Amino acid sequence: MFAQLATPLMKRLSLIFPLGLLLVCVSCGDKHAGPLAQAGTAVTNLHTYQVKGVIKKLPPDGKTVVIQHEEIPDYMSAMTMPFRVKDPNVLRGLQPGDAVSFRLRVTDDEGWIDAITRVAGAALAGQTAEPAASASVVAALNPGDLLPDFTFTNELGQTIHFSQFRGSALAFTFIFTRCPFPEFCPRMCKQFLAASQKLATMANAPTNWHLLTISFDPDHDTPPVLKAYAERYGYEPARWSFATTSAEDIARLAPLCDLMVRRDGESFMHNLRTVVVDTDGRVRRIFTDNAWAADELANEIVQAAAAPKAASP
Amino acid sequence: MKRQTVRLKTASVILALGMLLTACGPKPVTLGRYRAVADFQLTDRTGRPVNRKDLEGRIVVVDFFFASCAEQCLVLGQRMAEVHRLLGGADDVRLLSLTVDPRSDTPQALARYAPRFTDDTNRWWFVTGDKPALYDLIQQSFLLPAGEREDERANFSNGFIHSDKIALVDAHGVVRAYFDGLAGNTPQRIVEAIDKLRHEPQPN
Repeated sequence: MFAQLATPLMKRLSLIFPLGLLLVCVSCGDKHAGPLAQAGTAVTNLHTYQVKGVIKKLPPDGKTVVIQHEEIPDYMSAMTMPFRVKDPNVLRGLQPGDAVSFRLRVTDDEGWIDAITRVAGAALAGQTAEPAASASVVAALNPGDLLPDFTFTNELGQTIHFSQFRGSALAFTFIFTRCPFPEFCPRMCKQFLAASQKLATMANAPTNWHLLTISFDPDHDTPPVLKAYAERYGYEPARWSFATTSAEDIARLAPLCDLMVRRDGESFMHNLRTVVVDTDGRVRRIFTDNAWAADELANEIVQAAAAPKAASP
Repeated sequence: MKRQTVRLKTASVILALGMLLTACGPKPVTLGRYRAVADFQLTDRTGRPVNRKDLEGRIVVVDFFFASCAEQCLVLGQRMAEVHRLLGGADDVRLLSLTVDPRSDTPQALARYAPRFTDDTNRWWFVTGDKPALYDLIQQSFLLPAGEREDERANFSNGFIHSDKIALVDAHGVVRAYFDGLAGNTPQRIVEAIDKLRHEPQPN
């Protein structure tokens, strides 16, 4: 990436800038695109960044262009924003949708772009969809809301649905089996185990309940992996399932549960959500952390197994 | 071929003028000019309502975190704590940590989370609020898209803003720079940028 970018730039720069400048630029050994030039002598702190993007809009003022650009290392995240041009002629012949390469020049006081050239319309590296504020927050479920149905594959390779647990209380939580932090995913499993033991020994406990541990790492957490993981917790298959589903369905389910998941190499950055659903498939309680006690979950399950109709034991 | 020629030439010039190398310290901090921070109504960890007016006239260092994030947010918090330490109690700067998981991060939860980084509730605010309002603020004012890599966005970005950037807002409420929140030299660079802001000629 650097070599591809740097070579034509070096050639170009060697034509434009005095050799001394090129030297400063190269010797600073910046491994990314910018700053390519630090013209401390001639202009006040001029920085030049070579950037790729896609033209989104050419406002009628003729002096700006809105470009969805890729990340500018050490300077700016990938985003869509207006850029000013000093010479309106550089915009001639450009149209929205054009993939372009351009030079962003920034001093202490101003910023503008020039040397805009059209490039083959390949997708940008790290291209971001234009952030649509309204689409960002999906209304998460609240207590009383009906849980939409989702389909999963469990640790035995069987297809299961949320809806098949109607008539029972269902508690589900989210994990990935490679999660190394004892206070996160392993804790969710330990708490589920403790709650199931509590329910098994509780006097007058309902029997219409089920636990479901959902992995958001379907690539790794195949049924055999889930089964081996479940066995580490001595799970009882009739009471507790470990399951996963497609990445697409996880991406739909996560915001409904206000679950935040982001892949980070082989790991995930995530928060914790444990949801208790009643016999009618309505959300009864959402635990939002790892601080809840197993007894508290067991009690919620007892309530959920009875409510809203008196469930037959 | 040509590339090698250019490199060889460059290399030999570098060697010949080796003293120029000494001019190359860390990259100087540059200030840009991004969005103006929109007004907001949020709540800090003490339960105190906070809005943009409370920050007027102050330089603000902003990060985005959630308390149950095990790794990156802790590093981010440590960078913020280092900025806080380096500022030595200067009153013209505020630190603002915005949660992206407000359902978990209630003021009470933030009050449990924040003390690992600071006891200073005056100069470093951990802030939560209504999720749409928070997300609007972050997206509209700070323009930090969710996943920056396509694979993540395709799979899991929905409804989850995450950024390990730290934003610097000037005393007039305009975002002026972004920093890599995980980089070790970021606190020094932020303090350097704050110093630049302090010495900017003031309008009027």
